[in-house]
Amino acid sequence: MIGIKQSMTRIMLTIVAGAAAAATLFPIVWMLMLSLKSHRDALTLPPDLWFRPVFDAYSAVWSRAGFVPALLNSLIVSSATLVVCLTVGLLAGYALSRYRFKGANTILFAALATRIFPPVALVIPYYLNMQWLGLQDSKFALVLAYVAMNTPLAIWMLKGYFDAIPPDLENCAMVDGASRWQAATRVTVPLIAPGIAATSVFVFVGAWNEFLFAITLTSKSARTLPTVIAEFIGDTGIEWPQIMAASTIALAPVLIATFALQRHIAAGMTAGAIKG
Amino acid sequence: MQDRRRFLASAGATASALAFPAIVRAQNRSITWVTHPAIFGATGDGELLRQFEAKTGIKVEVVTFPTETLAQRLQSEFVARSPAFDVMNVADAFWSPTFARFLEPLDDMIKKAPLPNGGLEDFSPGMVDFFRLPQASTGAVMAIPLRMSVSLLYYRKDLVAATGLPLPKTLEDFGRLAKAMTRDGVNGVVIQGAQGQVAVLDWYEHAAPFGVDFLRMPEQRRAAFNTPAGVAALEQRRQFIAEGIADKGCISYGFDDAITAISQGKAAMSVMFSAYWPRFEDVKQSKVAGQIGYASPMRADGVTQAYPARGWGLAINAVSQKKEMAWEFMRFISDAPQQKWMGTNKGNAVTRLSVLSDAEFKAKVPISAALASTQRYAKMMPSTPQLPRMYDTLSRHLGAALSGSARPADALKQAETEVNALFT
Amino acid sequence: MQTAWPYVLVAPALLVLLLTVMYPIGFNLFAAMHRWNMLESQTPQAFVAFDTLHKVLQESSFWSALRITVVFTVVAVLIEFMLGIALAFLVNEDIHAGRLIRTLLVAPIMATPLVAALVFKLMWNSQLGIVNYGLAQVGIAPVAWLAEPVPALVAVLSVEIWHNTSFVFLVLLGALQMLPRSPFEAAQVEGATWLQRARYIALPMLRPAILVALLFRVVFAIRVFDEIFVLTRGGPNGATETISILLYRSAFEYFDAAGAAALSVILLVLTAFFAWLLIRNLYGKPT
Repeated sequence: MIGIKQSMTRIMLTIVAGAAAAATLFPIVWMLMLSLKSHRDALTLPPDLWFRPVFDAYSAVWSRAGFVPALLNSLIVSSATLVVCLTVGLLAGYALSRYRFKGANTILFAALATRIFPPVALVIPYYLNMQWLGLQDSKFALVLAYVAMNTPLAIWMLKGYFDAIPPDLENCAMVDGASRWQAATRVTVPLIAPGIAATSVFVFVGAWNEFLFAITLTSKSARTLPTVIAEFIGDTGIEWPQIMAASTIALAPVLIATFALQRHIAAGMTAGAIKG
Repeated sequence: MQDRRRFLASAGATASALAFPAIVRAQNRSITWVTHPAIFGATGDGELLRQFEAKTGIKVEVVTFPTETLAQRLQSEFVARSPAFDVMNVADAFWSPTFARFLEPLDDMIKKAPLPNGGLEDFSPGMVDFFRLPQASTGAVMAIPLRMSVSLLYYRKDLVAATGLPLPKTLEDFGRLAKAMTRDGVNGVVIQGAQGQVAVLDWYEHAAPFGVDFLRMPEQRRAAFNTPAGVAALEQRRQFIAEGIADKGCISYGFDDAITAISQGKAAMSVMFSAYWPRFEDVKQSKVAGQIGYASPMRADGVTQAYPARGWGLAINAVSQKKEMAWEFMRFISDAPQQKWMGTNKGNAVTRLSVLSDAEFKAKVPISAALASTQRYAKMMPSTPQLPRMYDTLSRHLGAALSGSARPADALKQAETEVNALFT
Repeated sequence: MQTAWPYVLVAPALLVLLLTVMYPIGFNLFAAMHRWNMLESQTPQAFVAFDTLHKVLQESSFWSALRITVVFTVVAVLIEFMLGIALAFLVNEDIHAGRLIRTLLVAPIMATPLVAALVFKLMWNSQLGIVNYGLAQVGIAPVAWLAEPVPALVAVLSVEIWHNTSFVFLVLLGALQMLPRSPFEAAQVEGATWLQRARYIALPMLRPAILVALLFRVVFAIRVFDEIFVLTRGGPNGATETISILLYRSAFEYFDAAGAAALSVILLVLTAFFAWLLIRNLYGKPT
């Protein structure tokens, strides 16, 4: 917080931020509008802003075979990815931040390198691997792939956030008798909570929206949302209201969860309270 | 007592042992069909599959993939030599001799259990030959056409009537009609110029009826598209855009954009695939429902293979372990009654000619009259491993001509040189 | 302190990466040195060392794609960075409805990329799009956005920037929220203006976060595929054809494993170059 107190300025800033949020929201609002009209009205120009919403698209999507199972699969796969990625990332990020050891930089850059390689070239060898292991069409194979894809980002981000908290805090706690584990988890980790939240959003969304691996690795039982959403593009055209509705349904839980998550994170105001 | 018990026990055991394989076989009568949602929808979301199961006891498990990624997925399955899918839908868009190697040749199956109700002869020859390996009437059948379209002329009946001009028979007629209908914020024609296969095929639909081939048949190793008719078709498209008869945005239009342009009333006419007709007749999707007419596109006399046929075939995985059951299913779903059901109730593109003359089909499907005069002139699409690269080359040069940065004659000439180089 | 602990802690991450990604990468490097159509043969067909790479580099479409990829990446990341950092500073202040605004500003990342691209495709449509409609209201003639080279690039950039500014925003916001108060209070007491506090105190402390944001944005922007493919398929006439699109075509239309691998290696080198630039300037400098 750089610190601006006057209420007039606060209001002005709120307006500017609000305008930015509205501009950002425009395509999403448009998407919502497209989902609430018939195909014919949705694409009409000029757009009818005061329209009576039609929910046909939503009922078509909900009742579509495979949509609800895919939604559940996505929830399971993304949540599992998040948990594993955060665990792995927190451990590695902490180590890379707090210790000086040989190979630390190599690990960081190797992790980055794996992320640089385009997934298009990785997907078939990975699929062949999973086939050989008998894991095709399994949520496990997907979670494994997604954890691998998101770990580099998690490591880099969490290391950065750990770096921002001085080790003195932990050292003080350890001097007071806490073990390193206790010091880390009770003192440092809560302080990087906003950073963990940001990382979580990217990891979860990264798994939630991933398309290429989902298409290649799943057929029936492990199918996730992006595949089902893409199915609304057919060989005689795009089902506009339905695909917009499906996408809105996919967006809603993540958006709501993010909003709710912020309630539980102190906005870092207590950072820097070095005792003594 | 003991003996009788023992006897009964061993009799029971023997009986179950004998019956077990039959039970297992009975329980295991299921095949997996991989397809895309539109085809699955055409079967009434499985309605026809349930009928099939009731008739034969074979359960058909369906796995769907988005249309455009089905090719990717099949490729992965083939590379992995996976027997997971028994029956698959293959499209002309990714058909090639290389792909066909992974499918089971069907000629023996046809001999043992022929296609009912007229057999292969009931299908349009252009469509059947496309799926042969090699692509000649003597080639081995590798897939059965199931959902294939030919190109049709779609036009606004009211706007055409207002001009007083007849339906076009030549390319010049087409241009004249398009120009006459361009007014009051309506474009006379909409064309598809999106980069890639789309633009190439759209041009081809205007060139093929005048005798233009992509490649010289039957070897398919030399370009054959650089002919006066090919240049004329390209020049007309360039003109349409340059003179505003087609909206400038057409350069980026795919088929969904073109369909939308017509159904929103912004364009009056187009040559497109017959499978699209339901989109115009559905009031929820189209502002011009009931106002669209369908006819055979213009064609030069004497050209017997005139209208490019595109779409989907059904094939059997070469490493499937249930080939007989798969064939049973294919015979059923491609049979005349099922095709008629899918055509009349779900607007599916039919491939059997006998269905076109069925009374109920004619009553319920508005394009039936146009189809009757078009489908038998279906033109086979080429098939060679170099096809994707050929399409890319052509797309680049056609695109340059459309946007005016190259003259059509030069563009086609340059494309011809580059395509010929692909085969050396 | 040279204990075994750090190695134990990074072991899980390394294990995951080794198991899943290392093999495919090695596979690709191997495939790049052979001629291999994956449908024609289960093993490589010939060892050609760097011939495939050579062939790829010879195609004119490659150099055009390289140029477009670089332009696209640089412009996209620059704009995303400027917008993202401005928004992060803005929202970090004590504004009303901060939580709601923060969530809304992050929303674009959550939208399915394919569908977001479709919405933008409709918006930029020359006959049915809201952009041309808006222009018409103020008397400007319609532009065929997706049909002309530069407008198409603008359209494609618009999706990318809309979709990913949130990333920069959220990374930087997280870091901002963790900054200690004392340096700012001290500076305020000494009479520094908001701008001075932001520039001389906050910005240097944000350097690690900025590095992460820029680094990963570059890595992802270089590879963008879905948005461009949906909007223009690389058109018009290759005006928006990036290396990703060439890669997709190689892998899924030509079934050419070697060509795809060669393009992947090139993409890897290109990205590594940008990464090196960023890391050289931003990594590990004292705050």
